Amino acid sequence: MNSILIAEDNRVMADVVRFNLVRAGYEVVVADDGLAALEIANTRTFDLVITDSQMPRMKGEEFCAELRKLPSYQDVPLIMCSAKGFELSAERLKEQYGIERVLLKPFSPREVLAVVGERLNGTAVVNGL
Amino acid sequence: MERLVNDQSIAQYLRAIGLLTLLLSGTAVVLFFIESHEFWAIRSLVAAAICSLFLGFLTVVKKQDSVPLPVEILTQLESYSSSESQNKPPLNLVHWQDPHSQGWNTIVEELRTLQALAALEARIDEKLTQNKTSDDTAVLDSLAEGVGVTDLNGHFTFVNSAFEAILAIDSSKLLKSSIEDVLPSEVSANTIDAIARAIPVTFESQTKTDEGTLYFRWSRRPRLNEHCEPNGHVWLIRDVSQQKLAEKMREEFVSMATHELRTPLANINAYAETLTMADDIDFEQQKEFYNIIQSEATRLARFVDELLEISRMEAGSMSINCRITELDRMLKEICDKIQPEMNRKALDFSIVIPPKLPQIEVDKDAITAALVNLLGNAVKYTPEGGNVCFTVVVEDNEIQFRVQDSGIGISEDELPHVFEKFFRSDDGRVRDINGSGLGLAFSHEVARLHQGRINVSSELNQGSTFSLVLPLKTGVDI
Repeated sequence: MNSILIAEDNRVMADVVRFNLVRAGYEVVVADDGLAALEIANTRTFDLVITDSQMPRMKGEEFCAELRKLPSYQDVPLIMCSAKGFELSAERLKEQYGIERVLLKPFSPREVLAVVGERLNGTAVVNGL
Repeated sequence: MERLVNDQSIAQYLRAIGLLTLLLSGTAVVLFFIESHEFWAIRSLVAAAICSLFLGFLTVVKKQDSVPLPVEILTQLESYSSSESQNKPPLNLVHWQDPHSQGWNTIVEELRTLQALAALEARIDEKLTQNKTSDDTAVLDSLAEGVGVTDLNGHFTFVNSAFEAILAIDSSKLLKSSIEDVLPSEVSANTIDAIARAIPVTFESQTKTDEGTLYFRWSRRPRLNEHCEPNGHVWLIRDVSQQKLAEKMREEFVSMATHELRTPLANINAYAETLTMADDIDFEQQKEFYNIIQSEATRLARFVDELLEISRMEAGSMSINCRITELDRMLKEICDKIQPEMNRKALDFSIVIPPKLPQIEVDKDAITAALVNLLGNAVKYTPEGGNVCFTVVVEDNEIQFRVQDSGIGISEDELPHVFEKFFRSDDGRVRDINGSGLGLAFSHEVARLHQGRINVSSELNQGSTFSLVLPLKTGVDI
């Protein structure tokens, strides 16, 4: 079972993403902000990380930068969600932190499942739940 | 105007004595050649000599009556006209008996008239220039924009008061400097190049001061003389720091508003889609999802209401509708509204309200919104496990609603700005929390419309106290 770490301070959003990912067969751990997620990442290696961009204590970009410093997270796919679409450059984020996808809120759970499926199983199609 | 003297009588005497001298000399010569008349010849000669002496004496005594040469006249005129004295004596050139003197006198008189006119003209010009310069300076000094004039070498020839004030350099110092001395060091090479190539140029600069960063907008235009030849430059400088701050605040507001709108929308969308995608979700779970959708929709609606209030406040059209209000009920509603947020952050929320409260005439919705705002801020900016105390005090014909927290506090520098629209603290801890920068401005406006006020005291890392104070017997200004 593939494992996914979610760093998201908006609990309501984190819950619905987790609900859908768990139903799709992934193991999901949610952290309330970047710092909490980094602490968890230090203890184990997840197959994929989804992070919000705007979080207290440690923002998404800083979290990704710290994560990439960990030897076991060099190649782990990173996905960033953001409610501040126009201010983020997907190209820059990819270049700087290897963030593979930036999902703009409001995004569809289908989209999340598709992106995660593509990265972890090599399949981009999600046929219902 | 005094006329020249033409002393005819003296001239006639001189002429008679001259003729007599010639006559006596001629007689002496004739007598000298006639024998036995030598004695008379000598006598005639002596008489002629006496006449000559007398003529010489008269000439010396009446030297001013001598005929001056034109060159002499011109020299006198020149020295007279070049004299600096304001009260010159009238020019007295010739006492001349020659008929030509009339011509000279006319010329001299005309010259003198012209000279007087020229002096008058110069004085009028001087006066006009003085007035014009002082008028122009007064106008330029009244401008908020700094105006500096430089010559072709870049040296200042004029600066107005605003130019001095904006650059905080005294004009006496500026007038000894050149533009290079005051141009900001970070002005780019391109700008310098444009300046060198005499292209009209506009650029901005930043200056760090103790009070913060100042932003200046510079522009330079060529200055031409009356023959349309380049004569130097006019430099304009404007302090655009307030404008920059307002722009920054607005940008942050738009960014915040986008975030505040997108977040509940994203939640509604995600939960609704999940409900439609999965048809095997159990009933309780479905109910929870529907509740979440409803509460997120409420959050969205509340934010839209806030935006409307903000736009009304921005447009200056915010008004209140005052009615007699039961304070007990209003306060209970407020506390009920905020309690869940207090619980979520495990804050110790204490409420101190006197048992008997007066009725007051207020806009209940506006006051409720203002107090929820103050309490909401206390929740936002107090770390988990902290304290928030809501106290109502009635004294001196006033009612005071006090919200005290043990939160992150506000620095002394930022305290005077907290009620300004769009103001948000530079404290990183505040930046991490979403906020419009308009809540306190709104509460402040509500207090003002009720003829009340909001007081604030705060200490960084210790906590803040906001007090909304309303007069009890209020003739409300709507």
